[in-house]
Amino acid sequence: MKYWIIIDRQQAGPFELDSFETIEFGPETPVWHEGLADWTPASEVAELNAILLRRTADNRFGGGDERPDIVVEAVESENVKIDTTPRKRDSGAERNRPSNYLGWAIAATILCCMPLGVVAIIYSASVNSKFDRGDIAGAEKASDTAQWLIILSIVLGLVVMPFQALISLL
Amino acid sequence: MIQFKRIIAVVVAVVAAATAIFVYHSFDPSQSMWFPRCPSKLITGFDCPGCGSQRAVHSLLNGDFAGMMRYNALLLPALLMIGCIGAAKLLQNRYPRFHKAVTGNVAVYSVLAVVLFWAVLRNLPVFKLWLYCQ
Repeated sequence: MKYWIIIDRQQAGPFELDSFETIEFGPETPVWHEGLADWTPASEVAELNAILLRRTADNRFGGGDERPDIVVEAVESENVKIDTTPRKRDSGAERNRPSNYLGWAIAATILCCMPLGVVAIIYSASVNSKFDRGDIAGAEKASDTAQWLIILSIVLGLVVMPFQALISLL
Repeated sequence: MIQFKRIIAVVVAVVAAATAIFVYHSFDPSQSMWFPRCPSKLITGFDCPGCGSQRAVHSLLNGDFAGMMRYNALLLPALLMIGCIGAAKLLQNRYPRFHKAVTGNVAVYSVLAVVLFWAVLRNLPVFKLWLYCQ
């Protein structure tokens, strides 16, 4: 079976199960394989949780503290059920939610006097709804677009300034 | 290195903010040609949601609350909202629900609705007349 995971907001894969022995991932790392309805925390995928638990045990008895975050967070449950129904994202997935730059978008609209700011707010909205739908790549893209629109409106505001002064001189 | 970049960013932001506050406090944008005029206003002739913000900031910094509301009534709510979001970003780890509340879709759509409503309202002749009579 092939697995896809999201590390540092980047989708990676396909991986075979063996590859996970060498991949750094945590219990909250979103994972998907065929048959799952949505990205699922690694700790809820039985075979991956097994790897996590083994690492936890290795760390505990090996005395190394190389992966302290995994030691703390690993879910120690033998019969993890694989939940295939879409569900509310937990705080682990929440950390991957791309910024919607709402504050900047408001600033661009009200302070830079740019209609582009309104477009940025619309993209802000699409960041959240896409992420909630599980379309993480789409949310990332909308987030980037919002960011560029905001940068563009700030830059345009600054660039236009001298020209306007010139116009008002004439 | 990241720490160093952060310090630079904070210093730049503080200096920029201080400069902006000084400039907008000391000079009245409606009396000077050096302040940028709203490009969408120049092109379309309509007031955009941000029109009047510079004069409103000048009024706010000089304690003229009525003037601020007159130039752009949306400025103060917008600044408060930006402040809330900034605070929520800083305290995201401690108050995740607050962060979610001010950046969630309810907040985004509310902002969008208010901005569009304000854009329409302030261009209505009735509203302009009412504002003129104040």
